[in-house]
Amino acid sequence: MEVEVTSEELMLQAKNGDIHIRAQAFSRLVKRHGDHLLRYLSRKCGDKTSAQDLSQEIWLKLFDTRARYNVNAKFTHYLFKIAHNHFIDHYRRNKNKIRPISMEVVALAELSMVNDTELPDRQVEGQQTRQEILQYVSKLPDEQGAVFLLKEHGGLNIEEIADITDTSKETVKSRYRYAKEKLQSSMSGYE
Amino acid sequence: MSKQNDNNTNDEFDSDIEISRLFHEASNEKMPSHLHDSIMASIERSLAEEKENKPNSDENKHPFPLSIFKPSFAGLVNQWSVPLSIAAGIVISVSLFLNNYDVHQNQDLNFLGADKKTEIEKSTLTNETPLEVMNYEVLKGDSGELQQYEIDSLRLIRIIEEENNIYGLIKTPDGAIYKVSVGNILGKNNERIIKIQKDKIEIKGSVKNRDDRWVEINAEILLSD
Repeated sequence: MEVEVTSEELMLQAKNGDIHIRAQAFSRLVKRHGDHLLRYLSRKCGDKTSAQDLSQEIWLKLFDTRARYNVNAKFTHYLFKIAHNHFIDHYRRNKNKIRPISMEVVALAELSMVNDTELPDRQVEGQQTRQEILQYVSKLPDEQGAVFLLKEHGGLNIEEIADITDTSKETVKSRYRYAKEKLQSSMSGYE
Repeated sequence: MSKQNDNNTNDEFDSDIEISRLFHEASNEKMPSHLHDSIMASIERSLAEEKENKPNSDENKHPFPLSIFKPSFAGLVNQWSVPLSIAAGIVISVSLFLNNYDVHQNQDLNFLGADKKTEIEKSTLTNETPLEVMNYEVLKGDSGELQQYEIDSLRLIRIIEEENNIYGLIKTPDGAIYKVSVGNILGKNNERIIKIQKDKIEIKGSVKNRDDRWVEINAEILLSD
């Protein structure tokens, strides 16, 4: 039975292996964590194209800074820290530009235009619910949204999120509690 | 993903299972394969550049130790002519410095005066030093030059032969060198050289004993190593 190599081990291979090992290890890391990172960025950016562009930039940044990777740190902690900081830089650079409409809003609008006769009611309802939760997440204040997304997409704990967002553990906890309460309140009609 | 196995997890940081499920069902984008390919193409390009710019790595040994250069200089240093030029520059600089250092040393000696210079130079002479570079004075009989020193403080540094005569070169504690021959007087007790052999000088003198009477003594000065 093949033992699965951890992401931390793959990162070390990407850091110290020969040229082929490095490329292989990095490819496995991109495949393993690419979806989660892309989803995190999609929620943060609100548009697919920017999320993909940022995703590519972040993976390249991770590769360029792999020498600084400390094996004691969880790989996802390292990855999402780069992602969080890179997004902030990107946001600062582009804050004066017109932001595209959130893709959650677009998806929701498209869904509402679907003829009810084309899809069973329950399916439409389910899709609508899922799109609405994305919309509610996108409406969370930035700090609360960041904590929620780092927890849900990064799978990070309080300490790791506190480190990434440069805040205390108590602040992370309270931000997450507020985010959860807002989402629960917004979704209460869908139980 | 939604549940954390963390010691610090508590009620406030627990996910709402239903919201978490709905959220993950909704937020389910997949990384398109073209994005993965594009990322990997860039990575492979970077790796190829790294290999090119770090020629002393295990993959491509380079005769020059380039690890001292920062990565930004790696491309420049990769050309063989650059490290060669740097090495040549270092050699020239060191040569100029050493040359300049010698000039200053000589200037310092001249400043001290010719006598001092002679002494310093003499003090470095040994029995390994070629004879022609030695600067010595010929001792004349009992001129008193070597009578101011204790016999024990004088060193025999060379035995020389000139025109069938044999001489010894004696070095004083202050670095002066004298050429001596049989009959010369040296030492505070006015010992006289009676014989010069290939490895020593034999001397004879007179000292007063406890009874205040002169007694004859024999001594040797051996050739120094």
